[in-house]
Amino acid sequence: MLKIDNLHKSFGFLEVIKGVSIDAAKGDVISILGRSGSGKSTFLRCINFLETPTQGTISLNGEAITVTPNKKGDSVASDKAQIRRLRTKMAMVFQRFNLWSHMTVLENVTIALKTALKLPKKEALERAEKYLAQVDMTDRLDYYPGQLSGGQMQRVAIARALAMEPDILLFDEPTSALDPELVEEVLNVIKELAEQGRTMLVVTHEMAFARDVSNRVIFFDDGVIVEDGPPQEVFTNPKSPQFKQFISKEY
Amino acid sequence: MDFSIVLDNLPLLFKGLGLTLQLLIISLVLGFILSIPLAIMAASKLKWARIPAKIFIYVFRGTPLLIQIFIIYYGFSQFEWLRESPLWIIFKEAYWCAIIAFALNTAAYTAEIFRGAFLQTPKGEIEAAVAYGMSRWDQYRHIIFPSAFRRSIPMYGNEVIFMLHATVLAGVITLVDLFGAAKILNSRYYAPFESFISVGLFYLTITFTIVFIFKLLEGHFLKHLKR
Repeated sequence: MLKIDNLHKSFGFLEVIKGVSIDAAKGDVISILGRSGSGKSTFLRCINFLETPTQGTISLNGEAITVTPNKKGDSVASDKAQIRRLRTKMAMVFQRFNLWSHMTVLENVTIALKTALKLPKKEALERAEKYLAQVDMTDRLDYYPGQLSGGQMQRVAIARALAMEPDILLFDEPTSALDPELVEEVLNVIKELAEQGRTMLVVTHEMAFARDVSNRVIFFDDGVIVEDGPPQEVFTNPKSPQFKQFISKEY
Repeated sequence: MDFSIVLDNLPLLFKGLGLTLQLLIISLVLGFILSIPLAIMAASKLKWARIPAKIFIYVFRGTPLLIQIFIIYYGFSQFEWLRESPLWIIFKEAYWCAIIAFALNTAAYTAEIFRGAFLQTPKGEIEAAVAYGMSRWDQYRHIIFPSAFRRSIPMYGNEVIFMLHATVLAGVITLVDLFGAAKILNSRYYAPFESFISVGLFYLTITFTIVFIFKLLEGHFLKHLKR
């Protein structure tokens, strides 16, 4: 479904991603682990071109994102309509929620449906209510993000992503900005989504989540993938010394 | 002290009040409209858009409003080509010259308020709009503008009050606004205290009304910032 081929990303002279390829099939729940600075968040942000990759191709359902090189040599998405359309199919959940602070919970979920997907008002509303119910936020429709807890904000952000009815969900450290006691409620929602068979790429530090929920674990080190496999395998029998060291520190 | 002269001349004062409000409202509306493209240009990454806007803002914030009015009203009439052009219908009137000066001046200050507010838009919110496939226009229309305008309300309220107080300068170029009316009263009866105290009360009342209106606006539009 999602195919990433030989992705590179440099910031100036610093190369943070050095040739990464991933093939995600429908229903895959892939956890991406790595130390901070290993390039895993940047990698995720390159997939929907929030960061412009320096090199590499990304295709969704066989459709490659069209790129042209810019002055700095990065490959910029050149077909604006295409990248906008593909972005709606790869909904992202951010570490810091990135909800629109001047909009209510309900508006936060409907606005992209109305603008990017051009859904009629009524349909957008129905969808928003459906997915807000799924994350158990129905009683907060008229609240502003500033009036919610971190966990509630992240659940709204997840509903916003689900409402796009995307092909794949991209999670960028969805629990890292949360107070410890709020992590669980968000993880439970993500776990539920995994059980429903949604395709997800999850950049995370939650080892238990990676081990118990995902069907594939990828470990980034210094801009390359050094470990890649089902969790049972990589956690019990890691091939790379880096991952071995990483998990030994965690437990 | 004799306030009966004020009461006897209330029609004059109310006429002055009418003109003051007219000058204030028309120049605020024009200035507001002008300030939006100015603010967008001034916040732009493109040099050719940013530099002219910055120069405009710099000039109008950097010089006294009275001087701007004098240049427009007295200065421009010195050019023969202007006097012979159709634009003269506008520039020969103190009324329009005052409005032009006020509008340009408030546009510069307001643009600066909006520019700051645009740049304060949380980066993550714009990023989310991009990630959710919104077009550039949708990002401006639904995210950047609404959030920036809301943040600007308290500062813009101050600007409106400053503008109200700046309209007294119309009285300097022959117009009979509130201040002009007070000057007439004073010269007629030589009663500076009564004349200026009474228009002072008018300005106070308008100021309080403006403050009240902006409190309501803040209550409505800044709900999301309250906890």
